[in-house]
Amino acid sequence: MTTNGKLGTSEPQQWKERLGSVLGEKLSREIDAFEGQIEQKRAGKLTDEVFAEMRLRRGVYGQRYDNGQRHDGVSSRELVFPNAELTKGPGTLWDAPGMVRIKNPFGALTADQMDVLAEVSEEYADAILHVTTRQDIQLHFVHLEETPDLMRRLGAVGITTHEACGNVVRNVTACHLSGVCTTQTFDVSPYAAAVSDFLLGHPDAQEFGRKVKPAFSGCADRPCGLVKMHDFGGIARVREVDGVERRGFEFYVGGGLGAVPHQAELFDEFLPEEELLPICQSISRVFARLGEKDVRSRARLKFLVAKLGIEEFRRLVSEDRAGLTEDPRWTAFLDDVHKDHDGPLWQIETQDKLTPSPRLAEWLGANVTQQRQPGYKVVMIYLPLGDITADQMRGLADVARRFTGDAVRMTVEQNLAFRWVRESDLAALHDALDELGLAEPRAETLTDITACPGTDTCKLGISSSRGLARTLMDHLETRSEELDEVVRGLRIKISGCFNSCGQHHMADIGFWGVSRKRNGYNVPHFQVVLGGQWAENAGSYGLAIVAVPGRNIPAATDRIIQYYVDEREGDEGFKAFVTRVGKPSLRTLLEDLTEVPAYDQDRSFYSNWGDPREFTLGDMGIGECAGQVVSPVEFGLQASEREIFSAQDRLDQGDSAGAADIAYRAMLIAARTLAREKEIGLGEDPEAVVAAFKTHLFDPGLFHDPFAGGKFGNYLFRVHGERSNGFEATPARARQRIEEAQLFIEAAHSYHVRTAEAVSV
Amino acid sequence: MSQAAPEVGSGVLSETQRVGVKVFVEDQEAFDRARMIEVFHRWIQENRLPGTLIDVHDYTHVREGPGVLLVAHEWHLRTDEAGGRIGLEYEIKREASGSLAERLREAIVSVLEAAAALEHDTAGDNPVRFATREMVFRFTDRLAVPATEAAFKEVTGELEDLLADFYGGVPIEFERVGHARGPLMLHMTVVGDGEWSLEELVSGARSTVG
Repeated sequence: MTTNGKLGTSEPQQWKERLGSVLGEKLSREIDAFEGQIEQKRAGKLTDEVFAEMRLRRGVYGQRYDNGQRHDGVSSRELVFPNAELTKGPGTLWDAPGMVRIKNPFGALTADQMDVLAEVSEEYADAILHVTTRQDIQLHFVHLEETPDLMRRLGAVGITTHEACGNVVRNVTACHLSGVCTTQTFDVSPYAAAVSDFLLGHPDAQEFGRKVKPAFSGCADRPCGLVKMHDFGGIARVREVDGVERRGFEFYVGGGLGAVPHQAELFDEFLPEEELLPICQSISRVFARLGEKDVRSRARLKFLVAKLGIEEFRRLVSEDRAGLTEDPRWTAFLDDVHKDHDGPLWQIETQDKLTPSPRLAEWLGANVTQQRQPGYKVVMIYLPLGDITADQMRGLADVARRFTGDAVRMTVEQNLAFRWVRESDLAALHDALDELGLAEPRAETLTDITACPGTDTCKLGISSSRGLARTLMDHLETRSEELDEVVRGLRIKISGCFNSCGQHHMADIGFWGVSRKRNGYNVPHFQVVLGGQWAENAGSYGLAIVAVPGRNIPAATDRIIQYYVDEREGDEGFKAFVTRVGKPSLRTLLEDLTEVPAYDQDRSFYSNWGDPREFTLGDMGIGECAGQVVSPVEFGLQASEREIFSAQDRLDQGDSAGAADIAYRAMLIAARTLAREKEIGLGEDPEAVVAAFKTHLFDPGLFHDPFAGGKFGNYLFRVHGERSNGFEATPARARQRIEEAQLFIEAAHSYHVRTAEAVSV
Repeated sequence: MSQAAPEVGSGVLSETQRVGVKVFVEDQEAFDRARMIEVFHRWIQENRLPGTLIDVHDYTHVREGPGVLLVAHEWHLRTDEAGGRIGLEYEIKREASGSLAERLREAIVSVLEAAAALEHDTAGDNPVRFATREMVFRFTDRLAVPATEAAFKEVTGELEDLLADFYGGVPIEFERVGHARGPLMLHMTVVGDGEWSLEELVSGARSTVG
């Protein structure tokens, strides 16, 4: 299906009238209303805050530089737009290009949808479709006024952007293999669809302080669903009740990545299928009622669960559930859950055994997996950095129609999966994909690197996650012949900042972007995070080892890989290896790579990968002699980082209380380091340090993060308060404290960067 | 499969905002993609092209994609690799005004000037040169310009008149190219005799305006 227009009438036709009858009354009305809100905002009848939330709930998001300022490598410059005075949100210019996020529950795509996605990407965006780690699609460089038509065209093929952003229930994700997986308990796709439909626009799910991300998985062991890192979600279970096999879910709540990752807590060992929707509804109601609204950084569901404790949270949800009015939708969908969501386009035919060429054999080995239904396979289509062009997507729609119909899914690793492919079609499918440049044999391998948009388009990006990913992909690909087989399945994931959209916490080798002041300049760095667990639905998170200059990350990656190859014992997995060798040895391994050469020796260290602009702003003009001076602040912050490292080490040794104490000490060192610039004689007494930090840095707002506000400073106050209020140092709480201390120190680095720039300008 | 059969006739072509024109790099093998990132960033620093220049994006990791993209509020300029041939494509995205012929002229002149700037900036080392006897036109605004034979005929009519200003009336031919369900795309080839530099084409077009 395409959304072709018409040519040649005297009155130009609009998409609204062309597609109105296809959209249905409800969707038409919603999009018309949004179009009206745009007009109201233009006329000054809506505030920035109100309109921003309205457009976010319609999936219309901001994008980097939308405040009208951009540093071009020499100076910060104003972007002069036609509607210079008009805004579409606080500090967000009307004409600045933005991002539109498109929601596809459990990543399902049809061929017709692929056609229209291709069309809207080339017409309204930059002809690129970006598949995200939550099975969404993002379009970039979209103009606000074109979004209603974009929504109409997507709506005509059953796609919505509604509640793809904003403080609502986001896309409901699920394993891309569900329904065809060899290890699944049952197909969770219809349940994910039911939750998505039920909560979309539900009145009980509109008053959250922050977003809610649900996920479903068909089995406990494989990683595709990643349930334990989500706000809530279920792993498929069956149980025999009164001699009858019943379906249900091992149900979790309160997980999440972000700045401080939380493992989800077990809410119910077996939530019967008929209770799924009412419990989701009650979780929404409890979260809306009791969740934090004012302090954004503590407003996710994970903080409410942690604050109340899982027992109390469970009691509150059960109490709410008991009082709910029966809703026929709770069970109506159960009539269809035993039907396959999708199925084969073609029946199995016998054929001679395939004798693949070496190239085909490599692709079969890397990109093709067994399906539970004999004779059919799942084919993974590797998308570099999650990107696919409009032309490729259109061509892929043709290929889907030929081989698999509408059985296409996006994956959380930013790839596509063709399900229900006949074994007899594999060679022809490979050739068809190869013509589109989509037959690279590297899906879900070491070189299939996940990256968030980072500094390319995200307003929060610190370092260039995509630039690094592109470099690492090329680097590792050139070494592919020499790489040991044991490392081919490792996962590398990169985030441009602490917010974890690249899911670095769960990677074997993770990186997240930070900035460091070195030699008088800002230098893009990445924190190296090792030993996260992708399997078992994101079973555990890795911990930071050390920050390495972005320019040295390829070398760091080589060393980590080689260390694993050389020192692993037997069949030892990477996580077990990291645990055994310990972080001190890993830090030692990378220690010399943390060095940054002087600016005039190697300027490449002072730029992001793939971006020739200087990473720093105001201190460009400082003479090179400044590069030889390491300030007391830099020394102090490095000392606090060493303490963090010790805390992590202590935690690994099983001493949670000791780890928590050291993490607290690390925060004090960082706070004192900064506060001493304002109060020279400041000693080491914790009360005095915290008071001085509050007086000189926090209360005046100097320490506040441009986006997170006082979030990181508040970590110090809370941890300091816990000292006198009592602190039960469980391993989970000690880990959380270490993470928060890490973020506090990152904020201290950021503050130092900001003040140094201000001084030099 | 189309949601409805497009109607054809004449009159709304002038509604199209999005007009893309591509010129091709002569030496495809020698083209250095990474270098374009630096060039486009520098162009932003120097305000090298008219418009509100915003940012540069590297899409060279996708095959036959936009290559390196320079995003402006009014237009996109990319080292387009569609069809496996690298070129420079300028696409008006918004704020266009005037008749269709005026928009087409603006897009053609803009891509030729950008190409000339690229030739100039790379003249010293591994120079980039552009072919001047062919262009590709792309119309992604499907509401105004459906990918139909009728639209193809109307657009070629406009282009024949317009390109006569650039090529001095030397015969040209059009071929419809691209995917059957893709946007309307035309490949223009000069079939008559003649050689033109980028600057000559631009000055020729300017001398005939008005």
